[in-house]
Amino acid sequence: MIERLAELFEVETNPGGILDATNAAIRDDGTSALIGGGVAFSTSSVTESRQTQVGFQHVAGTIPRDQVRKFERRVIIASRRQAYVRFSEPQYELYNRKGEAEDRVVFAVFFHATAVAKRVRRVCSAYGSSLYTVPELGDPMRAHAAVSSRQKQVRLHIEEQSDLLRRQEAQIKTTLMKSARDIVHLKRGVRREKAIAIALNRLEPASDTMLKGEAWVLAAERATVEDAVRSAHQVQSSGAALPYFVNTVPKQHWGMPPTHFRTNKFTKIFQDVVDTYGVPMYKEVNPALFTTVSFPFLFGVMYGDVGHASIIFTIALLAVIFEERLIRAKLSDMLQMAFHGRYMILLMGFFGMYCGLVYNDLFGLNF
Amino acid sequence: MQREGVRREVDGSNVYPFGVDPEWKRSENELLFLNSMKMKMSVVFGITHMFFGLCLRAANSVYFGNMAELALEVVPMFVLMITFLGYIAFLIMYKWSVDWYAPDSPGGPPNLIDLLIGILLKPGSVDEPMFQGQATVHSLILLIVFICIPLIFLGKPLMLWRWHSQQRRARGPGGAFGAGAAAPRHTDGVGALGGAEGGDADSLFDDDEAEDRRASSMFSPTSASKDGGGGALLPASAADEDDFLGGDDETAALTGGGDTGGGGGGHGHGHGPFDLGDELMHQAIETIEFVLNLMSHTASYLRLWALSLAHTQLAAVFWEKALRGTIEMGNPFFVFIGFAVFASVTFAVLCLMDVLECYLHTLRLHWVEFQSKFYKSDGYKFLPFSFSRIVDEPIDAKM
Repeated sequence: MIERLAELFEVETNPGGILDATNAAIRDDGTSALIGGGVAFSTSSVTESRQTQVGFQHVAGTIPRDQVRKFERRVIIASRRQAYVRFSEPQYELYNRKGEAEDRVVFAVFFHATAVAKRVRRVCSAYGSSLYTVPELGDPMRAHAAVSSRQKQVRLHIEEQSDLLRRQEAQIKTTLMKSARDIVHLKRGVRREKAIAIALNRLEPASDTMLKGEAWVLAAERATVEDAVRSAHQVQSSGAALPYFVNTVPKQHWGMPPTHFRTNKFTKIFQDVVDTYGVPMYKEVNPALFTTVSFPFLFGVMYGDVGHASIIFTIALLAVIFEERLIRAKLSDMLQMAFHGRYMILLMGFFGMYCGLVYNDLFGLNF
Repeated sequence: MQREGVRREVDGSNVYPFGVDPEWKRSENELLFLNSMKMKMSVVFGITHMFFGLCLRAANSVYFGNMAELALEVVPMFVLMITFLGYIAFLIMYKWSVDWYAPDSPGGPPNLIDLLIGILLKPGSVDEPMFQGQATVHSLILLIVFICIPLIFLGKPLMLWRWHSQQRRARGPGGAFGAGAAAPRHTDGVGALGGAEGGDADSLFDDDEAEDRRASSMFSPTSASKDGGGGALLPASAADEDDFLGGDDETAALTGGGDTGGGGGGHGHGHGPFDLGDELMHQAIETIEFVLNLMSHTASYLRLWALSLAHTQLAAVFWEKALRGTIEMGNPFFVFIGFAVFASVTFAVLCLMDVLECYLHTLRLHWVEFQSKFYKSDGYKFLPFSFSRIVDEPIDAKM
């Protein structure tokens, strides 16, 4: 792009034929690489006096292609026709910081008076143009040299930076790989702490020094809860306990209590089947109890066939016998579901066999 | 006409000891007989199942001391079910137990479906009477049905309405709200239950009153923002922020307490002014549903027969086509192939697919036909604070 800029200058300077570089007009305002140094040259169009030194300043940069006309007009108006805009196609594709390709055009504004510079720059920034520093330019040869040395610098810089990025990326990768091994562990820890924090946040201040928390507790597990509260108040180093109370709150306090059923590995599946439909109200009759019998029976009435049911029964029986081993084994989702219902399937198989006997069916044959 | 057929008397010595006589397999009317038997059996099972469900409803109302519901809803439902469905079951059993071709039988085997339709369409007369005075029984059934339905529909709403207007009069204007909190609590639950067994209308009424007070004070959410109904060990005020604690449904269970607490004691009122119109509307829906379900749910149990038939027929087809055909060819190689096909098809279709199918239909029978008779399922689960639940939940390593 810089080469292109140089070309622009050449276009600008060649008609003049004579290029007389002076440093007189060069300014470096030092702000964020916005504007380049100036260039001063005399043009042949100023026929009256070749000696006349005309100090030109310039601003160069890129703007979106669709704003070219508007930009030019703005610059001319803002500078009261004291500036001159040239556009040129960029030599390379231009990218923004996000790495997206952008359709932009290179421009250079030339003007004479220092007072114009400010206004031009304001217009530039209003159009979202990126401005670039162009090194000191004199005669074409020197300009080329300057540009190419600048190019070299930029390339070197790019290489350095990308090398740095590569190294950083590698470092991040190794760090992440190292922590990935513990990620499950770490996440568990975070969950644990978060759960504790949420639980603690639910406590309400009861007095200046005490916190109060209310919760449902199984009547049968009251002692366990008291134990837990006591051990939580134990000061670990000295063994002394902080003061605490565990009281029973009157039942009316909190609306309907939650429902809990003690299940064993046999009744669990039946309770799950019922709970899938809906959880019983506190102290409501629990259909799961009756389901343990009626469910396999009605299944048997439909399935009734000694042969098929005995296959089902045997499979479920094997699952029950090798329960311990299967619990530890990793099963697929479907198998896991079937294994979860092994006792139900066992009973279903049993009643299927019974009804098969009644129907006198064995693999569709009678016996 | 039937009596002209050849009859062979059985003395019991050649009766098949258990289950269906395999001789039916060879008979021409095997399917006719099996279908009829299984259909009737399904209906009897269904009626028993639903009747049991209603018993559980009665148990619920007795336990919660909800005597208005017991007397004005559950008992009429019982009567309705026994007179209507119970009569169907009785007819089925009765038809089985009578030898319709015996010389002294009252007539040929009656068509039960026509008979049942006749109860409604031709009250007071029976085309094919099965026993003496059947027409009278039918009239009686019709009468009971027409008494019970309005009783279920109007009884409870009117009772509640009367109670509420009495409450309002007793407390004067402005006291209509928050009945439970303002009324003096002189009876506890046991007392209410004990008194209910006294039985006459007034004490029944008082018990309902006491119960209602108990229910509304027990089940009223004190302040939803403060305790939110309470999710197990932790009140759910902060439940919305702990999505990691275990997915949406558990959070819903934690927060759900606040909503379900408002229902109160199975009455569906308890707070705010009593609206007779609302209550009647609610009860009308319940009544219509119950009466319609008497028939539709009974018919739904026919799936027991249908699936059994499908199972038997599939098994028969697999046997006929895959195995018997190849065995009759006499070539061991074909038998080998035939058996492989038979075994794999039997396992895939009958031992996997049909098990799933029967399972789903059983599930439906329990969820819809059985549990709709009593199960409100208004509760929420006790979810104690548990590290193993929070911490051991599967962790998505990618997230």
